Amino acid sequence: MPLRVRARPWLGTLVEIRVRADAPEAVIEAGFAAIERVHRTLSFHDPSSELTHLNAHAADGSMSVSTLTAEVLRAALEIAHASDGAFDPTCGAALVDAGLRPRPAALREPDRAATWRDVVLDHARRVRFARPLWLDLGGIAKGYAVDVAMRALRDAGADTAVVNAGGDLAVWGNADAPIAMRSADGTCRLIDLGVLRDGAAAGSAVAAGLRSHFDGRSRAMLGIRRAATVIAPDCMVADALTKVVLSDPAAAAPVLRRYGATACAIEADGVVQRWDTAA
Amino acid sequence: MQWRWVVPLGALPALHSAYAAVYLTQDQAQTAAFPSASEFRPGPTGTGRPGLRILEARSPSSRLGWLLIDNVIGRTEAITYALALDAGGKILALEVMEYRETHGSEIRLPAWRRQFVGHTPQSPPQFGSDVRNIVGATLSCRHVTEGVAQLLDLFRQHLAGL
Repeated sequence: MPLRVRARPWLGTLVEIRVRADAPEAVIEAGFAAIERVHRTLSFHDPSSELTHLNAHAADGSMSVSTLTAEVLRAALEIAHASDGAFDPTCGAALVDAGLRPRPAALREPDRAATWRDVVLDHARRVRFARPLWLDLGGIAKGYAVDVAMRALRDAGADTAVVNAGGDLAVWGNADAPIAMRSADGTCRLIDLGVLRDGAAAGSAVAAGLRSHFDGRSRAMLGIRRAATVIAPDCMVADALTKVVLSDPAAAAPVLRRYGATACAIEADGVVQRWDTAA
Repeated sequence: MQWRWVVPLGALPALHSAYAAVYLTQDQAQTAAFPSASEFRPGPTGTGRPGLRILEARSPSSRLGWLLIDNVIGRTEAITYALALDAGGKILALEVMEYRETHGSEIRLPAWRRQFVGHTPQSPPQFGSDVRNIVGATLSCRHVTEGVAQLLDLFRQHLAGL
């Protein structure tokens, strides 16, 4: 059975959803509705998003959050802990200072020394910041949106689906997804990586003019050129772990192993490093 | 999860390619946005927006809405998209019909453009077995958001009173 594809602009990128050609239109709509929900809830720019409400008020006292926000924030804090802060969802202020995000209007100034350790999420889905900070879930939300869309597609009856949000993708059912990787040297060179089934992949590249990443610990912009791809059971983990591989490849192995992930990094000079840690 | 790396250490089989895909033809975009329409009439011209196509979606007795097919070209992307509005200007659907990476001036080079000639939804561009899944491709859709805002203005100026 061939697949059919639809594409819509969400999450600042191109989101593609593929389902079997005979799947009803309502299946695709359910997938995109899930993407839209994640976009509206976790947008850093949108003054009405739940994330913006947290950034505005969570330093003043505990706030209840949706299951969606709680789920992605819990994962973000766990990966921050596992990577000793190489991935850190509290670098919103550093991203704004570097001009990579617009300055949010009407938010109190954050404490530049705040880290993920200043975010407390309890089991009753209440969030509190120990000091003023700006959460930015841009390093994990795209992968999370892909996972949520995949769940919605399956709930709507899809037995085969591919969701691709600008290169963060998940594959399920009777579909093979050949994966290629963009080299980090600023060209359009593609490197064939392999074929994925029933799993997820995410990638990031650090290259002049293309995208900029921060080291979660030093809050310094990564000055290297490196492309990283992570293959993991779910896309949220794959998305977040690409930042760990980019900023601290020497320490990535135990974090990848913990999440059943494998990874590949390619330097601008073509040197390849691989982590084959999955069972 | 099934995965086996094919990229060997130290040896990279590589080719130069940019991302390009056709998702919907105009006919498919019309049907997707207005499945119950019996007719699509050409809308007004002279809106001053180059390349914009306006179609009025009609049932036998009334206007269902408008389909606006527009292009945006950014620093890295060229996108054809379809914005469906109901008769009152409310957004019904926004679909990307075609996406091409541009990387600046490359889009003007015939040799680069030739790669995409003849690709249709049924025969997308090939890479190895398939070019579609490029991880870390940083595909941007920011200019679509600006385009939609401009089209909503255009609706108020040129279509709302018709």
